[in-house]
Amino acid sequence: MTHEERVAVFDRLREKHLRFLTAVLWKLTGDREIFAEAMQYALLGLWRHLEKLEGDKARSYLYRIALSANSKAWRNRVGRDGVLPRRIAWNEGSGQETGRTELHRAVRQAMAHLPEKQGRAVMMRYLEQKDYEDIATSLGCSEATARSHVSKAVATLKRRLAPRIQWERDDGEG
Amino acid sequence: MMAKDNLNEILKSLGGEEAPPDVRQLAEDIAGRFRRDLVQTRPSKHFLWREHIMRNRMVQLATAAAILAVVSIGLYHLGVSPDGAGVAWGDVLAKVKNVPIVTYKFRLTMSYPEGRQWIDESDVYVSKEHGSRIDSYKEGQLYMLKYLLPARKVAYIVHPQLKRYFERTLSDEQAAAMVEQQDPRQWLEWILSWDYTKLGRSEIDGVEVEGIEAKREDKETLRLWVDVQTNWPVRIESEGEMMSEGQLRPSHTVMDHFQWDAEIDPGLFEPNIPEDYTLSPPR
Repeated sequence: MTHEERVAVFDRLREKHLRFLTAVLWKLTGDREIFAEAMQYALLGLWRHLEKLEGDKARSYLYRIALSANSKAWRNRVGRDGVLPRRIAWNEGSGQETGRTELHRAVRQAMAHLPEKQGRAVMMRYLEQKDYEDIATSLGCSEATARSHVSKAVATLKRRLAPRIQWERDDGEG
Repeated sequence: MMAKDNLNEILKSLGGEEAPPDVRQLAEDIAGRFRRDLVQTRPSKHFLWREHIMRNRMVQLATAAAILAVVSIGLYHLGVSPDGAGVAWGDVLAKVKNVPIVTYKFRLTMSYPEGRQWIDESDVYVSKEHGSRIDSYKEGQLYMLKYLLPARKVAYIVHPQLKRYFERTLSDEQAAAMVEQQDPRQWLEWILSWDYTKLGRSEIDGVEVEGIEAKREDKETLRLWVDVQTNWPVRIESEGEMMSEGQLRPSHTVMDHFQWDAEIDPGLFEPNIPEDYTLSPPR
């Protein structure tokens, strides 16, 4: 494809997928600055993988692009000085709300570091309420394997968050 | 330790969070700018988007767009003082062009509502032969060192307080682009390539200087101040907007305290990372 043809394809894909990327990246980041950074990575991914996004597995690649973008954006934030900046305005509202948003932030940060398939599985299952058939199709695996990915992801998240969070009970995969 | 919580419920609640209208608008704006830059530049330039995102999380769309816009300019016209008095602007770039090593101080100030400011100060060393090094300070404390070694196609980011570092391999093109971004000579080319206006004379740190100002689409203003006696650049300023916390914020950058053709120990460009520092996973 020529550059102009690629731009035309990009326009179509942007029109088609921007709303999805916006929704997913917001759920994954919950912060405007990280979101803006992740969106830029996602657009780069869209541009670099135009051909794949026109095929049958477009949605699957889109998930990969979104997760990769989210992961890079979070890693950049943490990687720069080791901690998330205090500037993020999560300190509004009551003490209970503050604790809640801190908790959500911690979970989001941990999700950004999940292995790729676990990240996709848990995102589709919880953030998008997809059934296991859809998850399996997207991951190119059996439903049992999809369940396994979700289960491992939840276990990984609990383990990584353990120093900061006391879990109510032994969460079974939902 | 936080209160007892249920991970399933937390994950489900994250899934219920809809993007607010301003976030949806932000996404549209980012996509629009990205698309515009696709049209204005060739594919080989697009890695600069990624480079810039990685270079500084504070500096996002506005500056990335600026860099993309200026690298697409192929020619620059060098103005020469018509009456021969004052700075001969055409000579300024020629004078610095073959300098092997330049050092300077870099200061970025971002302004937020209620008078809040975020300031990043760095000492920058740029060598044609060895690459570059940036020492960044926060509240006077050294918190990050960046080494760019084009000959070895590798870059390092070192966090001394955390005893941690990142290592990243680069293509020739990426390395060249990163050096270019840190080299004040590139900024000089940008300013002199635009339609600039003369600011007349002033004084900086006791040095008599003459300045020019150039604007990019009313989004960014660059100023260059040059020593009228020696024609060495003394200060480069940029005023514009940078993306932070999801919004464009007023920003001001200053490069000054230049040492053109400084005598620097080449060992300064060697990372020499202590053995007890941990290599962080690649980004």
